[in-house]
Amino acid sequence: MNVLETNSLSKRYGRLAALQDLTLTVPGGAVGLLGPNGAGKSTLIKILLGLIPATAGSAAVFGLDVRRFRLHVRQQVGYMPENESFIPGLDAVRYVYLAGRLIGMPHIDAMQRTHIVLNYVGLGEERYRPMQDYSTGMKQKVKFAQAIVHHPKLLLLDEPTSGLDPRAREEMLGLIRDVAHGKGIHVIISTHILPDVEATCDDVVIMDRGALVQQGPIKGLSAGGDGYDVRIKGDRDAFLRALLAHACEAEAHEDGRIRVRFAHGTPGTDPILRASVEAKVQLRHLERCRASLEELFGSVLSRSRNGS
Amino acid sequence: MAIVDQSYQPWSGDLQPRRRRIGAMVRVGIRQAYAGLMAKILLLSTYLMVFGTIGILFIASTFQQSVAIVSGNNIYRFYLGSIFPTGILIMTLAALVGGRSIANDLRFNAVSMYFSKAITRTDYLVGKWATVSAFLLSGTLVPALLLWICQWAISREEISAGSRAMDLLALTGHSLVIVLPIAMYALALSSLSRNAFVPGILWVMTFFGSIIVSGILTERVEEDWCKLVSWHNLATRLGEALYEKRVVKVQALGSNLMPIEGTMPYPWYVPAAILGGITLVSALFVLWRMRKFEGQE
Repeated sequence: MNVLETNSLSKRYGRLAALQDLTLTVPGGAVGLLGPNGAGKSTLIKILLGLIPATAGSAAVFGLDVRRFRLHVRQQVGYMPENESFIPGLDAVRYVYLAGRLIGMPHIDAMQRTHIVLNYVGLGEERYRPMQDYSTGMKQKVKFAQAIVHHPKLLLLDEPTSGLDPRAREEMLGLIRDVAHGKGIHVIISTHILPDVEATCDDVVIMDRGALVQQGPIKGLSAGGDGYDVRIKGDRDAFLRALLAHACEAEAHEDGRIRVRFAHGTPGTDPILRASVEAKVQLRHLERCRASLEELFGSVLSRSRNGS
Repeated sequence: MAIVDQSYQPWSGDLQPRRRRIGAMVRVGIRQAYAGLMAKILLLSTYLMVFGTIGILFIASTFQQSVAIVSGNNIYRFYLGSIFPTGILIMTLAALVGGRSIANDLRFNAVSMYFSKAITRTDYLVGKWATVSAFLLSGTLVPALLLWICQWAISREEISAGSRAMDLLALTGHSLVIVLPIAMYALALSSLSRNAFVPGILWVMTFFGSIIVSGILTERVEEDWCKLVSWHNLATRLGEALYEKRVVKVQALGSNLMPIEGTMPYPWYVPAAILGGITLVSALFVLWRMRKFEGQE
């Protein structure tokens, strides 16, 4: 069964279309939900949680329609909101316990699980302090803990590393990786921080203007781009001119790398080898270029916008 | 990935029904309400006052003095119907606890936690209402129960166990009549703002304002309906209707302590309709506001 399915899902706020005819299937695993501001990521999450109704179309989580089985869906999903979320006066233990009870866990189970998940996220004796005194990193950990207290099947994380210092960010990414790959929980991360997705996710869903732009495994999408990375020893300018003569687009980077793309198709390494011979340079390194997620994201978005 | 990890084990178990979830919300809410220093001081001073009164009445009874207020069902009627201490106490507690109830959830974004769990807007409202009401009952029902026990212990009135049970039901009903509309109205005000002070101040203005405006109107216009403007009058009139009317069979001293009765010429269902209407409109207002906030962060 798919973790998430949407079928022609649309959401309008007056004239503004937040989601447009979104048809998406997420089979499971750790998925990064990417998109610029206004792409519709948060709207999609809110619809999945049954917080707002869709204008048209349908959405299902684990086969359960999110409108009809809203509470059942929420019992199977853990949600970590983006913004700070706590109840003043409550300590982390009471807060996470309350989250467990609101899902429907019995008292003893909720209390046991509260301490287990607070230990797991690395909150020690601070758990008995009122949450308003916590640092941002501790608050993020508590939000994460309340989302996994009932061991959900699916974890929805909205900007989980926002506002964290590098160490706290690494800890949070470690938790996400472990939950996704070691605890059997499907994870969907909505974020703007692309390296976070690269560090934790297997698949990526890229959205723009409320529509699906690209979906697939990160490795498949980012590896084997339509070009090569080349390092040479010799006259760089002559090599660049020679590449140009062979209808190649060359981009020299500061680290000495030259990214070569082809204007027409992908004819293999032949034009590069010829250019190196003609420019009389020594070829030191040649590999298919591996686009980073950031580059992929940028190119996918620009393709989408140019095409629309 | 760890080879052995006993720190975290998956959980699987039966989930409890909605009433249990609301119950958990109420328990945590009440615990939180009692944590406030001001609320503790107010309740403590009220209990001291009640215990002081009980002590004085006990001493009077040991000297064979029959005080009017201990006769019939006067003592808790008087307590629940008085502006001081009960009216002021409940007004202040409602401002403190009811006012911040939803406002703090909005301010600190706790609503996103609540509504990502298996509760609906109605569950949330019921949970909050029950929390504030239960807390306010500790300022009305609990002291009234103490006074009921006191009256049973030291009153020289000869009444049946049935009448005493009816009194118990009546004072419970009277407490609810005072508390339930106030709690819901305070929640409605609380959903208006993210600042907990604003609903508190609005509620105090409503309570005092209604009493002052009612007093002024009664003096100027001299019409019976003017008394309906006062929140306190409405709750008192409706509460009074719940008590059994009976003839006191002992000679009582100090009959000027008898509580207000018959000050409002309207039948009980008029204040009931007004207070019920306020409660209903407040509930609908909170639901409407929460619908707006549910999808927001």
